Amino acid sequence: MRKTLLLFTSLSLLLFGCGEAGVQSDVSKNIEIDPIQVSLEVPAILVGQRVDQTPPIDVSTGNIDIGGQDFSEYLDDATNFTINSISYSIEGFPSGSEANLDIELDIQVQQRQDLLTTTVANAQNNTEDVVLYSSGNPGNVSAAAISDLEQALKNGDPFQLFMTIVGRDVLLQQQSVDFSFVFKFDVTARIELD
Amino acid sequence: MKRFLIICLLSVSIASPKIVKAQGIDFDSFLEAGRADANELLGAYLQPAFEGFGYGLNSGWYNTAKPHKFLGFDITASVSLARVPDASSFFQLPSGLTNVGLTNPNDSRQLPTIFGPNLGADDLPELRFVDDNGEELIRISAPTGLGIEEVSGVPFNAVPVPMAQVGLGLFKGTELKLRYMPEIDFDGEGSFQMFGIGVMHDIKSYIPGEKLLPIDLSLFAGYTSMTANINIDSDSDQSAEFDASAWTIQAVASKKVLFATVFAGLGYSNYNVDFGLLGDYSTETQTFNNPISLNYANNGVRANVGLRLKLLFLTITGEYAMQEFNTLTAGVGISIR
Repeated sequence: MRKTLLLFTSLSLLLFGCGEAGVQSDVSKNIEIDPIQVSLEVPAILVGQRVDQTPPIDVSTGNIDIGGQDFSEYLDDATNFTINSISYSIEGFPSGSEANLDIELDIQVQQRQDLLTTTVANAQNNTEDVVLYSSGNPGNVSAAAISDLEQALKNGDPFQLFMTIVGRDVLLQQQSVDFSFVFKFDVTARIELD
Repeated sequence: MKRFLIICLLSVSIASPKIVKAQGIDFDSFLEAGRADANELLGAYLQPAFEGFGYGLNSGWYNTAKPHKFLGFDITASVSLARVPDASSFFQLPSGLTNVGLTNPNDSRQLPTIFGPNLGADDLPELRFVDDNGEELIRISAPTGLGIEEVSGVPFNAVPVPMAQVGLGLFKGTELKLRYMPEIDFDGEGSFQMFGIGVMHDIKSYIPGEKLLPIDLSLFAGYTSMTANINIDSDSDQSAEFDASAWTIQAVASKKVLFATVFAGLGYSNYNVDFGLLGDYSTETQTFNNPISLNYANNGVRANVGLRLKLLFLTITGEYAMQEFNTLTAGVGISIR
């Protein structure tokens, strides 16, 4: 109270305040989650030869807590979260090796559900961000899964990503190649104070 | 970090903690973009508030051109409303920012100042903050105006400046005016002090045939200075400092008819306002010492007209000053001799 009085007396710049009008603000971040490590393998005998299909590889993330970590200071005043886009890049795919990748991407907030399926052509060339999902052009991405993700962000709940990867038309120069998927979630929190 | 910018806005958003908080959110990352950009942005956003305050300081000095008689005096309290021009409701994103830009470079919308309308996030340009390597840190909708005009009850945007002063008649048509408040400490949370001095001198007596002149004529010069300090975090030695000074020189004429005195003045005014954040403030990547230092200064012609009603010892005054921020002043006081 005294500080208010001081400020009033000393500065007196805004006597009127802002009445009942609320204030709204959007805060957006493009958040890179921890890379998902993948090992793509072919039998030793097929090194240096094209392989039509590799066995499925299941990988997953640990808990991803975008709402609770990257937006923690805004959570109390956030009215909603929007996932603007989900993108990925591939890092560390060794030169000389090639592969297309069929991917099933699931999320798990409380229960596991499909998010999207896609094919990554020429994985070795996907070193720059590739957009998997855009809110303006959602394509075949599960709207329910996106909605659940956005709700998880608002609640500050963690979620997990699960990927099933099948290599197609694979040409490896060694029996096993290691690379990583780097996912980015572009997220907007709408802050509103009444 | 968040508190840092909240305090920035505390200095101008004193009446609504919720708004302060909201603006704190908006400004939270400004310093992440570097000292220079933060100063540019905050300076532009807050400009009308500090400018209005500067103009308001020069108001309310007089309500007649006739100085008090010897030991005559008055005590007057007033509130001035420095009207914020419509053009000051918005600003163009300053050029030359290195770490802040529009997310959409083709977005032609201007940014509201603190006196701009209260806009929703969808109606605000989005700002993109990057680090020194050009990597995006965060995107934030531009800070909204506070929509003061819509809710203040006053039909225009204005910066209020309250004032209290004493006038004392000396000799030979001279009157001394004082504005004074000793340093007041608010339990270590901050302090405030103010000083102002003005002199009005009758010049009618220097004019031949003065008795024939139906009006009073005086020259007035006044200077006001105030300083406020706010402790943000005593443990971290963080504080905000606000210094404002203003002076004016005016030729004043007035005419008394019964209990009413019409007065007018013409002259020159000047103000200088400084606002700074002192201490060390840390972002995720670096620490800034005294990161914010804003200065606003301007000068120009000032003309005013007013009316004083005097009922026995009670005076009621209204004044309108024409300057870059036209200023409406209402005052009440007692006046003897």
